[in-house]
Amino acid sequence: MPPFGFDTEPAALLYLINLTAGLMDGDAHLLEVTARAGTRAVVTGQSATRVHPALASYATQQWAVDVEDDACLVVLPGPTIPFRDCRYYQRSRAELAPSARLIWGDIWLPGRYDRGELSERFRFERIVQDFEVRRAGRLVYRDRFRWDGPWAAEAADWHFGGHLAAAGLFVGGPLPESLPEAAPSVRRSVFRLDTGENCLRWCGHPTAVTADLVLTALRIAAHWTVAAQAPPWLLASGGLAPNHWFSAPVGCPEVTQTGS
Amino acid sequence: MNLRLLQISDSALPISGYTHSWGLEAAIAKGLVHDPASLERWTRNWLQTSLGPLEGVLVASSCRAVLAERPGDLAALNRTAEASIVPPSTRRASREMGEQLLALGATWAWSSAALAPVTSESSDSTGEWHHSVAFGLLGALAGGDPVEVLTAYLHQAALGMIGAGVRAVPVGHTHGQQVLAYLHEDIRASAEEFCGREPETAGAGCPFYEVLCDEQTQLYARMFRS
Repeated sequence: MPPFGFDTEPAALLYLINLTAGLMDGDAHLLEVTARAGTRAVVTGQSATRVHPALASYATQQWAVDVEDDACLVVLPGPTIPFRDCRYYQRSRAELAPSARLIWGDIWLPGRYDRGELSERFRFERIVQDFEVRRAGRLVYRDRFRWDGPWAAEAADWHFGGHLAAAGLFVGGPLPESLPEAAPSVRRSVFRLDTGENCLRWCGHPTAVTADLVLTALRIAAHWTVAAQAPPWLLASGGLAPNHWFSAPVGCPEVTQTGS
Repeated sequence: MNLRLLQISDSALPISGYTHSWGLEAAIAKGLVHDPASLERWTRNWLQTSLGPLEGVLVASSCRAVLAERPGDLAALNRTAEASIVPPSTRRASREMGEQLLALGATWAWSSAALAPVTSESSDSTGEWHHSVAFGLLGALAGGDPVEVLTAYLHQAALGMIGAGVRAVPVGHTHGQQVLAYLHEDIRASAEEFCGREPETAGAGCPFYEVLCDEQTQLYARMFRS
């Protein structure tokens, strides 16, 4: 499927379609993306990444992303939902040219958390995140962890702070002077790396974390490519229906942002 | 007894460890740590999910690299530490403690000669060596094996965290030493586990802990630098 282009938008939208119900045991996805000079694009999945229970093996998703000079790429794979007893390995490598711009967001949910008695929270068997970013060949950022589940309440609280979502955003470039104000139901931290790159972390309600991460990512991209106070890429577009996983939620009490 | 290893693990070593709480101060401010039992839980979680899987793996890997006469590997391990420690407060703490440890080592008869050619090479990051890599290097020069060196590292780290808790919670010194004693078996088990991991697996995924490290720097009044 070719990317969507919008007359009034500076960025294209490239959907990665998975025709199955998610990542099954033994599935191995390899996604290779090259953003050439002049690229302005959002690459995303059409929904959350549901990782199904492992029977004998594990599921993997591997990304290899190259971003050239004068390219600006936002990669939002979508929230990861680890089902009970799943085993998941996500390996991502991003190679940035000296002036390339990349924003990459990962959102981690506890499982199918809102199903009443059938809810499953932090019942996965193992999740491995293996994300590295290099700029001009030099390692500038790593997000590497191994979560061995299932987690009892103490472990869940330690990792997620008593919340149902955690997220990380790598920002390969400078931050604007100010960011959209975070919703009250999220805890967000901004970390400036000594390489000139930046990183943000969230803990909070899944809807609010997702909305805030997406808004922040697309606002920064617009800041870089359009103007300092430009509206975020895509979110304000009349050409995009408000029913995508990354759309600004309407009527959600956990999300009362002022920046959108 | 390996007195050299004992020396680099000493809480009285002037490498500024006593000025850091590694996020504990924010946890205290939020009411998450408030007595000896919660300090013990906090320290155990930190060792097992944050310090051990990242810095611990780098300590053992650095020690192994020196013992295998591959000191050139240290720069890559240092780069891994630099790229992986996200909160600026703890990243700076790690670099300062590493640099100060190596500066001390450069004055000791048992380590200075072997240290000079290694540290004169670029650390391949900001020009500063992280504590985990410096500790693994000196531990190897001290004659320790990787498990021993990592055990010593985790023990001094636990003691540093508990010492911060003793001052900030506050917790009595007797309780603080009890907490450390309760953690001994966890330290031994963690050293065995993390020593066996490959350096490319080094890393810790504790988003809430990192948020707390950030929030510590924004406390209105604080005792610690991290």
